[in-house]
Amino acid sequence: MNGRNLEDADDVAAQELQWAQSYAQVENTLYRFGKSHYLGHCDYWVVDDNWGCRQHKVYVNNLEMLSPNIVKLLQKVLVGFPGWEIVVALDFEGPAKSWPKMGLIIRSNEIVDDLKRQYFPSSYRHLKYEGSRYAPVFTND
Amino acid sequence: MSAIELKRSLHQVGYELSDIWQIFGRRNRTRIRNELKYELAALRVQLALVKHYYISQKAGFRFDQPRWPKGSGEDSGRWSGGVGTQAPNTGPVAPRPRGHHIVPGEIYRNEDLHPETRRVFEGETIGPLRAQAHNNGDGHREYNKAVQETFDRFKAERGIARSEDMTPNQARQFIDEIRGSADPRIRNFNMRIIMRELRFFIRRGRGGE
Repeated sequence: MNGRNLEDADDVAAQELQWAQSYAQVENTLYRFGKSHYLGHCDYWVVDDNWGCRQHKVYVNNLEMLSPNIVKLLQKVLVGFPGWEIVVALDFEGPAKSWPKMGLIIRSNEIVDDLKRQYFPSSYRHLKYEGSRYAPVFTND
Repeated sequence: MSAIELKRSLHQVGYELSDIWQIFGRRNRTRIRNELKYELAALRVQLALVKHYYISQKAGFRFDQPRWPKGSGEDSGRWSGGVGTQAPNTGPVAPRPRGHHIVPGEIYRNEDLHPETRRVFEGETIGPLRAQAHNNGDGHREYNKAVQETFDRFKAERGIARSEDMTPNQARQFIDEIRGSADPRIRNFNMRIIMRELRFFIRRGRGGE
């Protein structure tokens, strides 16, 4: 589990270093395709708090940011960070705010797809990710 | 049965029905009162836990501090080394980059703040966190929004026109306001994090005994 406890001092130091490096790469990747805003006024936001787990969290406010080539690039970032994952959560304002919670978990070796495409406009329902599997159960607490 | 008797019987049935409704009403009120009592009790427990967590953090207590193992004589089970040695979390002495920042970085990072004030914001976290993992629905963005609104109101109420005029003390006041906020977007988000941490340490404590 990537959110596992990291208590060993070396683990913690390694996690902090990897978090900073991977954060920069995730941000650099997404920056090329959209604008970041922490209140959701633009296309995405990468959470910039290091909670201590081997994860990054990206809020997506524009379905364009879910395009397979962007997701592929994010997956490539993780190749250099074994055991890390990126949680991509959809977070919209307006009518789409009522959509159920959904997203992707990107790992270097797989993509867990928890998108509920039936809510998307028809032009985005075809989204497919190479090496993906559907999420059997996704807990949203 | 005469019409008068029938009427009397109907009245009697009416009275009995009325009694039954009253009984149901009383039972319903009792049930609601009990439910409210339970909820209140649960909230009191949560409040106590949050207060405990908050005070522990201020005192420099660390949940993950190791204990002396069994067979260590009088020290068995006591906290080993470091209790109280961590600087009290009252100021910018020891910035802790890991954890959930009470004030999201985006709110103050681009502001022209006094360095001391900036350190207050940088150093105030819930954490370091041990039991957290992101998911699709943790509401961080709503939290940001609520803190931003509170920040704007806080500055307006104190006549802080320019960010550089905000003192470290005011920054601490603001953080206290956020910690004690009744805004559900703030309270629920922080509460969820704290409860997850507490559950983690309770579980670990049980496992380790």
